[in-house]
Amino acid sequence: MAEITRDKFNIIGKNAKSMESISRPNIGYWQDAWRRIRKNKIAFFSLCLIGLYILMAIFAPMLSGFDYATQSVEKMNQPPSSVHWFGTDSLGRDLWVRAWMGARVSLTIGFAASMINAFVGSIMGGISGFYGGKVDMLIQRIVDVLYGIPSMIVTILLMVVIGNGVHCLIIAMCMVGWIGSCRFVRGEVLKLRESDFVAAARILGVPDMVIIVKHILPNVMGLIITNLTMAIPGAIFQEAFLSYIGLGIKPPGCSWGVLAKEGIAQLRINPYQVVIPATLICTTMLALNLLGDGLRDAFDPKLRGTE
Amino acid sequence: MAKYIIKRVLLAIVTLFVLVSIVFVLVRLLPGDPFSNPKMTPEIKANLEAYYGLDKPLPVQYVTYMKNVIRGDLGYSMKYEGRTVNRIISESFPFSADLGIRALCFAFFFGIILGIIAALNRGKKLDFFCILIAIIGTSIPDFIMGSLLQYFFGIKWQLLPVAQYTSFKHTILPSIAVGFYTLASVSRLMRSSMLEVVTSDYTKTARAKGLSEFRVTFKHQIRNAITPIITIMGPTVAAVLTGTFVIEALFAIPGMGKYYVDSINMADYTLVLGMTIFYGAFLVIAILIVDILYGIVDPRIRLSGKKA
Amino acid sequence: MKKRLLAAFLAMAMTAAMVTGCSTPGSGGGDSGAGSGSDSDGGSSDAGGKKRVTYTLREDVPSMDPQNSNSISSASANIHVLACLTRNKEGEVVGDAAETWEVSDDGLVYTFHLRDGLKWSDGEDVKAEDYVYGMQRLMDPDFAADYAFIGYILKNGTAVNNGEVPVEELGVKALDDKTVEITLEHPAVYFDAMASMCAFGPARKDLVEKYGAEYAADPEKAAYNGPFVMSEWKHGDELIMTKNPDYWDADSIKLDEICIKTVLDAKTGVAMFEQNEVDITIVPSDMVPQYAEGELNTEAYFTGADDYIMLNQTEGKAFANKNLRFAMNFGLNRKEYNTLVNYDTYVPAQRLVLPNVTSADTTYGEAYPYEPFPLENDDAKAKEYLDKAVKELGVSSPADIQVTLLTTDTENAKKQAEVLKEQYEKNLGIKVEIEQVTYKERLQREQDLDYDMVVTGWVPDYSDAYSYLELWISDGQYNHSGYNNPKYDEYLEKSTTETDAKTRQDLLFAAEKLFLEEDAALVPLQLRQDTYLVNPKIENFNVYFVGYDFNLVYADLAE
Repeated sequence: MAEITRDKFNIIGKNAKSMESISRPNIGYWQDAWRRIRKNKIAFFSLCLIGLYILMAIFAPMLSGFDYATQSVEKMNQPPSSVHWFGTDSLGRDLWVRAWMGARVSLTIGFAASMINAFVGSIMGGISGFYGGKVDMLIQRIVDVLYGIPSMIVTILLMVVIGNGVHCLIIAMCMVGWIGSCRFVRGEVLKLRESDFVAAARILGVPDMVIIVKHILPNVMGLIITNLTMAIPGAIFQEAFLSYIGLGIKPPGCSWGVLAKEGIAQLRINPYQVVIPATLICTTMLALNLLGDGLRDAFDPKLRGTE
Repeated sequence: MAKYIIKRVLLAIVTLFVLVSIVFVLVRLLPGDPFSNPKMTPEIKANLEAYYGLDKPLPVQYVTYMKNVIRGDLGYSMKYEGRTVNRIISESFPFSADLGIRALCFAFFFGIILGIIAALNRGKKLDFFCILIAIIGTSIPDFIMGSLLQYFFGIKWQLLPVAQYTSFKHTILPSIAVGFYTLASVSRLMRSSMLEVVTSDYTKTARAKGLSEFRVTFKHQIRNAITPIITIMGPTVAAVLTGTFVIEALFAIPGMGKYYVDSINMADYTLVLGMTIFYGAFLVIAILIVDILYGIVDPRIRLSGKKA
Repeated sequence: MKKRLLAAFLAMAMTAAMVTGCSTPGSGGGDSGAGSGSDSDGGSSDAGGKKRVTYTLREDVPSMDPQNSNSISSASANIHVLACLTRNKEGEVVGDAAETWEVSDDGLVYTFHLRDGLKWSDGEDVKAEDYVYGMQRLMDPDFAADYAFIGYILKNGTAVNNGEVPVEELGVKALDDKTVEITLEHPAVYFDAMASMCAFGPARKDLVEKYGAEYAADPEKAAYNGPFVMSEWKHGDELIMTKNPDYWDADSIKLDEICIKTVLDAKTGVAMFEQNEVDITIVPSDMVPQYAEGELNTEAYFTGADDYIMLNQTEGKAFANKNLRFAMNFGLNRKEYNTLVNYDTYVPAQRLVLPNVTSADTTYGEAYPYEPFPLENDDAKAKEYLDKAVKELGVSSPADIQVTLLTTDTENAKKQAEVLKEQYEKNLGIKVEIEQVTYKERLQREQDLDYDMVVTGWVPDYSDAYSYLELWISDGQYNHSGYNNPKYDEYLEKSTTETDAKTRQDLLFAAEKLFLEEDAALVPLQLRQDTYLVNPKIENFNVYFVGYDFNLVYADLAE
C-alpha cells in the first residue's frame, strides 16, 4: 500500500461560485415533461395522431375535389369507393370532405371549450381551495347554482341571442363547463394546502401567490391536464348531444356529432355512415386520453426521475 | 360537525332559492310560450293564460309560485294537462333512479377495480388493457353506444330485449350504456390517484413496518386514493339518477330525462321549474353528502376551512 | 380511529349496495313499479286467448280528457273510449251515439236523436245533457281548451269562448234526454263528420266537478261510453284500453285489448316490432327502403298534412315580389326533393288542397284535377320570372337576392332545409341562409311575421277543401304570410253561405286557382304519408287523415 504523503495534495483555493453550482444540467419543469413524453411511445404516437387530424381538418377539405354541401340524387348512400373515400350520405354528399369539415368544428369546440373551462376552473378552484372559509363557501354555492341551471335552457337562450354556430356552442359550454375542473382542483388544493412542503414554504415567509404558482400548481398540474384531456371528449360529446336534440351548428355545416347522428339512422343499411364518424370520434378520444395519461405522468413532480 | 351540517343545510336552501329564482326568469325568456301551436288564436291563448295565472304581473306570479313551492306544490304541467308536476316526477323518477343506481353500481364497482388493477400493474400489459377498456368507455358518445348495444345484443344476436324496462333482462343494456362513461372516468381517476399514493411516504412507511402487501394496498393505498372519486360522485350521482334523455329515449324507458328535454322544448314553465327544483335539491344534497364523506375519508382535510 | 371505522363501514356498504344492486333481477326501485316484472307485454301473443293489439306512439298521450285532446294522438285514443254523436269510418259518417239526425233546410240546425239504453261504463245513463255539457265545456273560457277554435262553428261559439256571452248562450241544447239540437254559425256540409270529433264528445258533469283539472287523468277519474274503456294508464309508458261490454255495438267489437306504448325513438319501435313486441309501428323514412322488398308488411297512409314553403309577403320583404314567388315555384324540383328528403315516401305536392278530401260526391282531386306548378324544375320559366323579379327588386343579379329559410331543430326539418337551400342556390342562383331555431321559436316568428320563408304545413280538422283554404283569408287567425287578396276572401265568404254542394266546391276551387295561379302565394312541397309496419294478422285496421290516425275500433286479429 502506497503511503499517502502531504506532498501528494496541493491547495487550489476556494471557488465560491462553483461551490453552489449544480454539476448536472438543470432540467426545467417543461423540458423534463417533454423529455418524458417523448420517451412514452404511446403518448407520443397519440400526439402525432391528433396532429394528423388537425392537419387533415385544415387541408383535406381544400384538397378534395368535392364540396361538403353539394348534393346529388344519383349518389345517395354510396358505400366507400375510390371516388368517394368515405362514401356518400343520404343526400349524396361526399363524406370524406364532410368528415374533415366536421373535424374542424368538433376539434375547435373540443379544444376551445375545454381549455377555457380548465383555465377558469383551475383559477376558481385554486382560489376556492387555497383561501377556504367564506370565499370557498361563496364560490362553491355559485357553482351549485350554475350546476342546477339546465344547460339546454342556457343554450337555447344563447342561440336566440347570438344565433346558432360554433361560437354559440362554445360559450354555452363554458357557462357551466368550468365547474367540473373547479371542483376538482379545489379538492386537490384542499389536500395540498395542509401538506408539509406548503407549511414549510409558509414558515419561510413565501407569499401566497408564489406558494400557489410555485408549489401547489405543479402538483395539481398533472390532474388538471388529465382532466383537460378528459374534458375535450366531454365537450365533443356535449356538442354531439346538443346536435342529437337538434341544438347544433348551422346546416349544412356539420360536426362529428352531427355526422354520427345522421349516420345512426342508417346503422342497419349503411353502417359505414356511422362507423366512420364514430371511429374518428373514438380514435381522437383514445389519443387524447392516452396523451393525457402520458402527460399526467410527465408532469407529476413526484414521479420525476423514477424512470 | 353538527354545526357545520346545519350551516350547510341552511346554505343549501338559499342555493336552491337562488337557483329557482334564476330559472323562473330564464324559462320565461325562452322563445315562444307554453301554448303556442300552429292552431292557436290570441283569444284562446288569453283564456289559457288566465287559466294558468300567466296573465298576472311577473312578480305576482313569482310570489304565488314560491308560496306553492314552500307548500310542496309544484303546480300543473302545461303540456300534460291534468297532471301535476309532483305526479310526473314521482311517476318518472323511480325509473330514472333505478336505472341510475344500476348504472352507478356497475360503473363504480368495475371502475374502481379496473383503476386499482391498472395502477398496481403500471406500465405492464394488464395496465394497458385496463386503460383501453376505460378509454373506449369515454370515447363513444352514449347515443352510439346505446344504439350499438341495442343493435348487436337486441336485434342481431337476439340475446336481450331491445327496449322497455320491465324485468332484469331489460335493465342490462341501458345500465351499461348509461354507466360506461362513468366507469371509464372512475377507473382513470382511480388509476391516477392510486399511482400518486403508490409513491407516497406513508406507503413506504407501511412497507417499512413490515405490513403485508395486501394490507398496504387495502388499508393504506386504496383508502387514500379513493378521495378524488368521491369528489366526482356528487354531480355524477345527481346527473345519472335524474335521467339520461338519450338512453331513455332509445330504450323506451319512461324516466325523467324525456320530460326534462320535452319540458324545455315545449316551454312548459311549471314542469321545467319543477324539474329544476328537484334536480337542484338532489344535486345540493349529493354534494353536501360528498363534502361530509370527504372529511371522513381524508383526515387531512379540515371541514372548518379556516386558514391554517 | 372512529372515523376510519366509519369510512371502512361506508366503503363496505357501498360495495354491498353495488353487488346486490347488480344481482337483484327486476327489483325495480322498490315501490316504483319500475320493475313490475309482468311478462304480459308482447304484441298479439294471445295470452289467455285475449285479442290484444299494441301500437307505438312517439309521445305519451298528452290528455285523455275529450275536450282537452288537442293532438292527433289524444284524439285517436279518445275515439276508442268515447261514443260521440257520429263515428267517422274512413270518411264515411255513421251514427254512433246518435241513431239518426236531421238537418234543417238552411243547413244551420242539426238535430241528433240518441239511441235507447246507452250506458256509461259506471252504469249511469247516457243523456243528451252529457253532450251539451261536453260542448259547453269546450267553449267555456274558464276551462280554456286549446282546441276551442273547432267550436267556433257553433252558434255563439266565438263569443262564448271570448267571454262575451255566458256559456248557456251556446247554440247547443238538449231538447229532452235523447235529443241534442245544435245550431251552427254558418252552414257546413261537413258538420256531421265534425260531430265525430272527441272535442264535441260527451263529458260527465258530476265527474268533472269531482275531479276538476284531473278529469280523465287516470282511468278511474272518468267514465266511458265508447267501444273500449281505459283500464290502465302508466304515464309515459303505456295506456291500455279494454273492450266495453256495455257498448251498444259491442257485438261488432272483436278486440279485447288495445295497448298504446310510448316509444320515443321510431327506430326502437321498429326493433320492437321485429321482436314481436308491438303490432303497429311507424317506420322512419330513412328505414323505409330496407323494407321495400321483404316479407314484412309496410303500409303508407296520408296523414292529411300538407307541407309548403310559406313566403312572407309583407311590404319590404323579398317575397312581396310576385315574380320572385313564381320563380321559387318553377325553380324547385319537387321530385328530387322528395327523393332526397323522404326516400319517396311522401308525395310531392303541386297544389294547395290535399286531393283526398271530400268534394260534393267524389274526392276533391278527382273533381278538380289541377297542376299549376311542375313536378320537376322548369328552368326556362323560372328564369323568365326571376329576370323580372331581379329588375323589379332593383338588384343587379339573382345572387344579390338573399333570403333566410327558417326551420326547426328536428333531423327531418334540417334535411328539408339543406335540400331546399341547395336547389334554390343551384337552380335560381339566389342566396339562401338557413336559420335553425326551436319549434316554439319558429311558431313565434311566424306569428310575428319575422321571417322570409319557412317550411310549414297544415293538418285539416275536417275533410273539406275549405279547411285548407280558410287559412289564407286576409285577416285569418292563422294567416301568417301577409297574403291579402279581397277577391280570395270573397270566394271563401260566398262559399260559407252557399248551400248547393257543387257550386260551393266550384267557389273553393276558384279560390285555390287564384291563390296559386295568379298569386303564387306559397310553394307547395309535399303531402305527408306515414309508413307503418303492421302485423299482417290485423284485419280491418284503418288510418284516416282527418281528426285521428289509428282506428282499431272494428279491427280483428286473425287466428
